[in-house]
Amino acid sequence: MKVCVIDYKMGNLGSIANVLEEIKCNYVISNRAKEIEESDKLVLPGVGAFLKGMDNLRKLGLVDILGREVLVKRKPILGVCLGMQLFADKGFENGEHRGLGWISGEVKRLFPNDNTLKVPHVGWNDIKIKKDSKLFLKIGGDASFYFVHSYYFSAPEENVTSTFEYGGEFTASVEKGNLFGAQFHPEKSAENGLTLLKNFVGV
Amino acid sequence: MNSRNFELQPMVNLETMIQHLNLKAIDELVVLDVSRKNRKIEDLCQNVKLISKKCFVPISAGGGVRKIDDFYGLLNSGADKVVINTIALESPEFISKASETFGSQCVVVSIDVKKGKDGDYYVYSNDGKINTGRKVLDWAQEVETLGGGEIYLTSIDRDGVAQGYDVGLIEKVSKAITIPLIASGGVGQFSHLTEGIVAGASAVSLANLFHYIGTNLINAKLYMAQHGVDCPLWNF
Repeated sequence: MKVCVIDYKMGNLGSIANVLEEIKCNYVISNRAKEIEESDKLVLPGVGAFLKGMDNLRKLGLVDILGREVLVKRKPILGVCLGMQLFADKGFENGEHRGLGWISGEVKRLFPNDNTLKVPHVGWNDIKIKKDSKLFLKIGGDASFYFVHSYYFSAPEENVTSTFEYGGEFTASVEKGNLFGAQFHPEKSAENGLTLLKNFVGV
Repeated sequence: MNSRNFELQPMVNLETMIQHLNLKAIDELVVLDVSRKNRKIEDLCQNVKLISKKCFVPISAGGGVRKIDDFYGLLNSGADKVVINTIALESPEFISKASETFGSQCVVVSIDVKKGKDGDYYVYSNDGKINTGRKVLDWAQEVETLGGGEIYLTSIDRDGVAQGYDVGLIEKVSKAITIPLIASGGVGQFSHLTEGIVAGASAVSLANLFHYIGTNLINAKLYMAQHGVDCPLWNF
């Protein structure tokens, strides 16, 4: 079993790699077609702006490669933070931009209905599990994870597997067939994060 | 290093610490290079790399950070946030520059204070050696205005003496800012942690009490949860 962590120059790949090593999962960090094709599962990490993420995917030819691997070959993929947000139809950070369109919905700025709550949303927060998901095996219903983001993925209810409260209820994770996504950072969420990544790798 | 009013005493080496520290019960880790001589960012980066192999929560690293390049080095080594102190006092615009380059959530400004004879709290620089003459409230507010993401506030008077945080200090500063305040200096018992939160800290930090004993941190969190503090609890 081999996981490919997609390197599209957005964010710290080292943290995800450290966890994969810790859970003794075979992995490679790459953006090359061969290594992506030879892997059984994919992780799309990401910290930064939506447009830059999409631009980098396009420049590296990854939109086509990943489209084939994920939509046609149905390889399991876990999008983390920006990585998950790029699955959307479009994002509204600094203008309107097209996403991968793999899960319908839009990425919009967080708007807590509580002026004591600041954006970005930074820190530990509980999630409310809405649907059964292999990702949440052995993880309690109101488990804590670490968040750091200013935008959220507004996705269809049938694809939202968990939410978080921050002056409103927002998408914490999504799932659609072989596509999995987390707004929080499992690689920074201690035991819960390790368990979630173990579940993804074992899926 | 063990610290008592900023006087240092070596305790254990890093490798041993990583094995014994209950990294599974910590919410966030702060790693500060407090070397008084030959302090080098490259060494801190190496240590952060080591720590990040076993620590799966956000890591804030600092100690002698003076340049934007130091930020890049630490972030690439596995740190999520960088802690700055003296450089911010010397060149406050550095806070803005770092915040604009990396995002304010990445910039933690550490403020060390001592109570003066007049009852006011004064900010110290250079490992707590130099009284800058600045008052903590003014500096804390300036840090927020300049783009600091969080303030790590240490009472030098309370550091390492296990008598509890300076609750008055925490109350004063937390009321004056809207960014998160992390309290530091003085924890000796679990109840001190709750006092820090009640006084207005967004987070409580501690060092000495938990360097050695594995389950202490878990018990501390359970204690806090029992006393009404909303903190992450894992499958303990």
